[in-house]
Amino acid sequence: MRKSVVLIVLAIASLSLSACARGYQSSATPRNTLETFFTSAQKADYSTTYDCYDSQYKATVSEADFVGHRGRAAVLKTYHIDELSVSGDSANAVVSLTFAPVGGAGTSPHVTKVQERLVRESGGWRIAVR
Amino acid sequence: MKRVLLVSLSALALSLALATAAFAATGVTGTVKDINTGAVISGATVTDGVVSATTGSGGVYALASALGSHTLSASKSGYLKTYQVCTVPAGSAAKVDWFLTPSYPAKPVPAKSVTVLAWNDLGMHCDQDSYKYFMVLPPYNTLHAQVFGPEDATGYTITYSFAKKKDSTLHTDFWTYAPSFGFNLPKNVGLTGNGLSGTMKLENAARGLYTATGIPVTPYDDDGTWDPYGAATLTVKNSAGTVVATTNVVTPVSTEMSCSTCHGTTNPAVDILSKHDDSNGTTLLADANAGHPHACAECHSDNALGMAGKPGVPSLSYAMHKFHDGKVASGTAGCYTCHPGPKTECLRGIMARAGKGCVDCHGDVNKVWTSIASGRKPWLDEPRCDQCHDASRAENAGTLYRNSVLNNSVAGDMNGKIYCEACHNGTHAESTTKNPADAVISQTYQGDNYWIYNCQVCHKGNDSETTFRGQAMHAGGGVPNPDPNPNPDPDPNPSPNGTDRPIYRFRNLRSGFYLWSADSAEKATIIETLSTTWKYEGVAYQVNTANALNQSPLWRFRNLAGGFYLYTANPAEKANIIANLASSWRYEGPAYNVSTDQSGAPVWRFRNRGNGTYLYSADPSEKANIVANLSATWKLEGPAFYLAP
Repeated sequence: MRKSVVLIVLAIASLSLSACARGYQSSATPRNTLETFFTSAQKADYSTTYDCYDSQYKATVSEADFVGHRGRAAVLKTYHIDELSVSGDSANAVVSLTFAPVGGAGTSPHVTKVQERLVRESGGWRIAVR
Repeated sequence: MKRVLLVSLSALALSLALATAAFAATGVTGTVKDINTGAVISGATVTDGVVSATTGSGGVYALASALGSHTLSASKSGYLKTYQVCTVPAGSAAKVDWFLTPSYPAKPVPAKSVTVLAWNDLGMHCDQDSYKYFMVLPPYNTLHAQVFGPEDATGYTITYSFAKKKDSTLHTDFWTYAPSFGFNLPKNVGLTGNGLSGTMKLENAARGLYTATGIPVTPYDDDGTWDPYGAATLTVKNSAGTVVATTNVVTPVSTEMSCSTCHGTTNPAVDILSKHDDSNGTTLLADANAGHPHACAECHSDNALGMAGKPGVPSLSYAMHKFHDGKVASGTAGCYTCHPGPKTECLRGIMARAGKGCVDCHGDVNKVWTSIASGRKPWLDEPRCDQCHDASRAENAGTLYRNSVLNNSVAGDMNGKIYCEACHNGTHAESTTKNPADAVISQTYQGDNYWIYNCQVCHKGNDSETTFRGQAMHAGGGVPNPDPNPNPDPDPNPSPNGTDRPIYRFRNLRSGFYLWSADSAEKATIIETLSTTWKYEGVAYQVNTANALNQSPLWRFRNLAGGFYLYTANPAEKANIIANLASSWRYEGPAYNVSTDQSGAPVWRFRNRGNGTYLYSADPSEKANIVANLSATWKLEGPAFYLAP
């Protein structure tokens, strides 16, 4: 009996870790999604980055295409969520980003500030492109 | 006797077989399908204005058209009537397939006081992820806009910006190497001096065309998202500085040039430059490795960038296509090896949806470079719509699609004012496209993905033009709006008295020229909504549609300068106008059928000696009065056609 309980707990833990590894958490908050989105980009784990987009974006861009093209753009070095507001099923954030120089050109990092819009989709929060 | 009978029967059978074979081998054949679903359409009518055929359960038709050129139409209730031109050759059948678009949905149009229509000029622009080794094309995109509102169309100020693309330097190294290409540009400023936000220039004041060229946008949003279909926001201010309209317009750009397909995945640019150096004795790779890459157009002239190249060096388009001739696949797949591309789909407009590929308009890769060798100017001499569309549904004579304007509006008052692309979008992405991102403006104004067809997009509900003639913008076969026309040419309107079709005559109170209409609904609409412009003069004559002699098409031409009409039932005159006078007369197709048999009552044609307009009269007393009293103004040209009783 004790062995069965342990196995069940391990199975649940394994499933949870697996879901986290793919960046998708059905109960994620907008902040969770933003952190997954940018942290994965820092690691060049663009499959996980892709998972964070909403279904509208995924309907037009495949994971393979996204990963291929994103890999040719600049690598994200740091991010900071400056502002985050939630209103119903949508959220807006202002995020400061620092990118490595694209293509190795130059040495100065590129700094920018972007606005992200998130939408609630299937119980989770996703990055909306349009 | 029995042998004679058998021989006769054999001869008859042979004759029938030969006759059947002859029929099958001439005329026009093809299939009619739904453009959205690809399903075959049965019961569709295809006609050349003289003969017609109906598709069977397989969507197939066989039209017994005579040899020569024809303007065909295909129609079916629930679909928009569609037109194509074709030439029936001797000894074989022409093949013309159709993809019909479902009729316009009847959706209310939101009220507005100012409308802005905007479009990208090319459907897709090419860009490079890296410029470290060479530059084929820089970040360069172009937007156009027209404003329709209460003020003079040239009195507005239009600014553009991108909500998610404010800094192209984040994801492209173009500005690092731009000086090496001869461009000393501030960061995020393109070749023409425009940036990622700015004010559109009034490029053509006469037509109210605003343009921003060379916008250095890339397929990457600032946060790194790959979005080749990013949108610009246009903000329109009136002369008082008040924002009167905003809209989004897609600005497509792609880096999907798949050099790695042939040049290796490690570093295709190195392989390309090595091969170029080996073949031509250049030092491009060494130069690039030394931090001084070159633009192809430094040596190879490129009309896309307006760069002259060097004397004796072939143009970039010629060199690229000739070198790759035979190395890429045939058809669109081959073009997409270098041009963007199988994912981003430069070619995604309604013609692509109807099964047309790159080579249908441009020819194959061999044709591209051999045509340049024969004198074609790349980027300047472009494929023409009138290769497949008749003159009333194609670009202006002698003018490219991207520079053409509406010049066959129903009332003539919109002529010269609206660019084709304002309603139909840019080339390669003509509405309705495969990509929903292209339809932002039509979705905003019409609530659908169609081209701009609804008069109320620009006209308020109480404008007379809103319901003018119950048709869309184009005269001469414009598709009804919103209801489909269930009846095929050449007899699109039922005769109210069974077989007698009345032809109504109107006189334009401003210009004095005449309009004849066989459409009772059109007649009612003109009388109801345009009585200040058109005076209804009554039934000019009636055509007995039951008389077999009244089966000759009466072709209509519209004068491009004056907007008035010429009708002829004489095939030789029709052919002569099309062949020799196309710069003055736009062929609009068959209006209705009449007789050319002189046993019928003549309809007399008069030509105005002053303004060149035409008057047709079937009334002998009117003819006599004009000849007796108005011959200084009207010249009798003789019978134009006849009306069999």
